[in-house]
Amino acid sequence: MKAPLIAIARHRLSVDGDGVTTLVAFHGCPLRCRYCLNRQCWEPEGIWRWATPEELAEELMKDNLYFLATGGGVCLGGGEPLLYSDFIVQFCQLCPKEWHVYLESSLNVPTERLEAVIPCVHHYYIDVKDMNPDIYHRYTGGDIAPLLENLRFLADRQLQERVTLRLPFIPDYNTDADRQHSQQQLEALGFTNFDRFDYIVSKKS
Amino acid sequence: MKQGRHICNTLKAIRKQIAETNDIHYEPRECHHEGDCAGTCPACEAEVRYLEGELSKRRRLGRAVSLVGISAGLAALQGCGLFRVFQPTAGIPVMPPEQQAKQQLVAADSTEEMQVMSKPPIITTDSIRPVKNDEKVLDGIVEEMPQFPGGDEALMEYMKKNIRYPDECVQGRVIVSFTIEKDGSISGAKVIKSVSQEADKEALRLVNNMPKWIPGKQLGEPVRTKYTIPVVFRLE
Repeated sequence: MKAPLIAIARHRLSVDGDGVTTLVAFHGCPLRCRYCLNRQCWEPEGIWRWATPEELAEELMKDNLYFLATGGGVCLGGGEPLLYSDFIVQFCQLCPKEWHVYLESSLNVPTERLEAVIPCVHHYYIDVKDMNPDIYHRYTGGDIAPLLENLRFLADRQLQERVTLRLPFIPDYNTDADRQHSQQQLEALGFTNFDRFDYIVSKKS
Repeated sequence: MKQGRHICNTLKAIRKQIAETNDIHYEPRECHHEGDCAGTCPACEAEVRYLEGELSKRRRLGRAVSLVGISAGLAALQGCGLFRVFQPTAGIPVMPPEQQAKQQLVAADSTEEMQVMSKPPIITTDSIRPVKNDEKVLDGIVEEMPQFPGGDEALMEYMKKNIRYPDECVQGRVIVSFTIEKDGSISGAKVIKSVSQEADKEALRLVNNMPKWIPGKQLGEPVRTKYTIPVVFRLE
């Protein structure tokens, strides 16, 4: 089993979670966000390399000492890492149990893929974008239904404390009132950790 | 690069802590490298392998080894928002070195090159921090929070109009901390999370050139308030 990667970024200091972490960015994404930062994740030529779970674990072991000493570990992002949930499960089984595993996902995947990784992941960073189906579709090009289903799935399992929900203000797509409304809907599901931030978009001079 | 050096120093401190905790003789090699630093290098990696070897020896001899969590605070204290690409080239988030040049050309759906800067929420805590002149700087939520004239949207507009994107292809989060004085002026701006020299410089320039804010108030009186704006520089 191999997964396509767009990058591995080592020695991130308290960026993706606690301690020293390595970001593993997967290729492929079901969404096409207007302001996507890593477009190579959905461009065919964007694949940097392929790796098996064993190869990836071996590569990350180089920083095992740092991970253990600082309580860090690995952040799985992309692209959409849950497109490779089987890979992730195998990879996590090869990692030392002390490593923390962080997952950055849009959750716009079938629930089985999320369910598969639940035993492996310590914390989830979910790019919600906006809870309004129309805004979501306009900005991401995708259907919000899988995200909603997966958020309910996490809430039903009382995993809210292990989830950080990202709620950006997206110029030309949503408003602060939309964002507030999104947060209220998510709070109703029991989520409490929100990362609210603003995209500021301007033409480069 | 400065951030690479910062990472290098942090990793070195972690190695020292591992060595000291486990009674391993370890003298980090003095680094005379003056060019770009990727945060690690073959010499640094060799020191990690040396420590691993020493720890293995101790385990084989049945000696206790302390490792888990011994530097837990170190990375957090020294954490920075640098997005570093797979070694050894640095500069752009999650992108293999061979594609970095391409990133500069990537535009949004339109043919125009765009920049996206993200302004995450204000970081505050509820502690009160004394300062030299005995005036207190409220480092957190006050009854009336200070406000950029015109509010958050005006602040965004200010950023949008005034930002000069660094020539270098850089992305990441710069966090600038500053104090809003009683008269609304800005003082003590400093970068507490860095991305690159150029991005930091630009973030500081923007903050220092801001118009006077509406100061925070406590019990109806203007107060000095510490404020932190994390920003993310992103290229589209």
